Amino acid sequence: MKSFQQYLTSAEEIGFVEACNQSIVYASGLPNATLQEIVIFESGELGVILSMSRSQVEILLLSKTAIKAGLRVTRTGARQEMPLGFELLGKTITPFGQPLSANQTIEEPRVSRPIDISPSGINTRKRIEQTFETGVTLVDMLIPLGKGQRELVIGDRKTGKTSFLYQTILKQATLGTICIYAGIGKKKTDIKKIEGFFHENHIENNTVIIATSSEDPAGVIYLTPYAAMTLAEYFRDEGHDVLVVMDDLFTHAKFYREIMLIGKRFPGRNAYPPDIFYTHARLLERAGNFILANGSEHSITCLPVVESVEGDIAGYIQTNLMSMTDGHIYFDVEMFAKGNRPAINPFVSVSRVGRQTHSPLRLSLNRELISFLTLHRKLESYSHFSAEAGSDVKRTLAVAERIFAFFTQNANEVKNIDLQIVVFCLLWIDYWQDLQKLEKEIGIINATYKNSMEAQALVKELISNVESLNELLLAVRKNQEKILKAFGLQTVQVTNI
Amino acid sequence: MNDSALFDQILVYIRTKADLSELLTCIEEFTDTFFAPKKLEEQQQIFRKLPMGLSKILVNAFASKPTTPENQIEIKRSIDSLVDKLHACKSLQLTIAFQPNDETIGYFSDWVKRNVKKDVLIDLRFDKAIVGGALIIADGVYKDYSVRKKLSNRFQIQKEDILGLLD
Repeated sequence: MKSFQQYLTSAEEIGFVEACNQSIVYASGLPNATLQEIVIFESGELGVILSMSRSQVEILLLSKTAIKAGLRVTRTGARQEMPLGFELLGKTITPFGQPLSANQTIEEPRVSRPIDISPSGINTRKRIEQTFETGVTLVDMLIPLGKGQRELVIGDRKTGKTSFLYQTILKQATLGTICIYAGIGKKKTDIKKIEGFFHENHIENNTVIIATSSEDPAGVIYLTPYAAMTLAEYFRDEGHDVLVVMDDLFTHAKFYREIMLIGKRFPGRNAYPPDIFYTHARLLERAGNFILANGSEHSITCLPVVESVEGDIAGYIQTNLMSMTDGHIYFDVEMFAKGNRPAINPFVSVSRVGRQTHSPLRLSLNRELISFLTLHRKLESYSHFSAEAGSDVKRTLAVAERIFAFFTQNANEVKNIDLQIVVFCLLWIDYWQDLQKLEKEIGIINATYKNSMEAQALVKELISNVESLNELLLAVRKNQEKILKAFGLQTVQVTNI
Repeated sequence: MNDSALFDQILVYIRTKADLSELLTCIEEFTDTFFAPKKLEEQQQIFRKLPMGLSKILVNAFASKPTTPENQIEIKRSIDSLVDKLHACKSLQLTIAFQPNDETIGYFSDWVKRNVKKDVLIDLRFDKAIVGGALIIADGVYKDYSVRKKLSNRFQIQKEDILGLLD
């Protein structure tokens, strides 16, 4: 980067700091400055032009250092841009593409693009048709996602949202998707944990972390998700499917509110600026399924995260984000307390486009499961009269218990959906009566599947030849012995349901 | 005398921002006498700190007769109008490499008033580091006509020539 004097000589425009209020600076001069342009102060600090009047420009500081009145400022002629390239894979960077840690070095990428741009139009978009696997059985079966979908992840603190994001990134990175994690105003230890997770699972080559810590200037924190989206667009244009995780937009909204209140903008509901909906919608609109100039189809799937407070999902920012995404996955604090892992509430969660990507088999499985769980939910309210409940009710409650045990998944564990469908069929035909046995044997099945080519081939064969759940149930029943043998389990007598 | 004519007359005597500052201080001191009544002679004395021509104009305009509750409002209105006009004067920051004498300042000011606009004042700065020539800042536009820049450009060209020869 050039010095202040060099920029001044080339721009031939100067301004003087008239007033400064935390991260907002007002300067006179700079007659030809443009919105979003980067300016440099005499002290070397950078800022970005937020607004301008006839006599003054309003500058958002991109550094923590205080600016004194009277300081000189000049234009750089550059907009907020981010260097982009495959060199960034495996790195933890700031929204300006610089390494977050002084120990890291990044080869300077040759391409750069503006951070904040308008979303591309309808003519570049295509219907979402490919399934997006998260590796979390409950989500893949009940709340399916599609590539290019924007799915909000919502829930209270400490309800397993981050574990779900880790699992999704792990699954997608192993499938070859480039995963971008945008940590917005996170704690430094959290960023280290994410780096560690990527490293432990050997997925650094398919991941990038764009992070800002809570100590960074509000202006830089505000830019984090936009920078993540710019990077995602670059990888998409280079012919990759991309996953962007934005953790979290509630923090982003709070920092945006801080900037706008300092900038004396008129406050709206909950003191958020009136354009908060536009700010987030413009960001999330940049995700989707796109047709590129060369005719290929690539997607940017986006998982924005938002924190709820005491299970209240009707908050202002929360409902805003719900309305601009294609569904939401709700992490229920009560389910978490009951021990459900993941603590996703399938009745409150919604996926608006995921089902259209499903095969007929998965669609029929989804319908069957939803209808069963709905029935169970109704019966559950009578469960405390269990002594008087009929045998059908008791059986439904017992099967539901087994289904929830089947959905139970450890943090950082990802599962293959085809295998899970076959396992579900075994459960559905009452192969497992005992809960402990089910938990133990599901563990064995998952472990065997990873290493056994025979088991993988068998699952593939079973799934590929059927169109509906009933057909698969018949096939599983017929090949039960073969399946159990392939997974090294003992055979038992199966009762028909 | 109307306000515009008064302003034009005063402008002739104000060349730099320092002159303007001095004038505004005197005017402020004069308006303070409205609240702590002074004799006419004392009021006139305030303006006599300024250059003679300017002092005469101000005395004629505001302190030719004692201020009374009747004429005070009229004088205050006239002063406020003048002050507003003076504050609206634009400035041209000129940085030069030597300490100018009064004659040079006058020359600079006349040139600016003749060639730019009559209500533009010079904000004169002194910086030896520019070696010669001048730096001009007006309305946010920065022009570097200094010898330092010319030398720097010259050295840059020579450096490139030498590096070219070495290659």
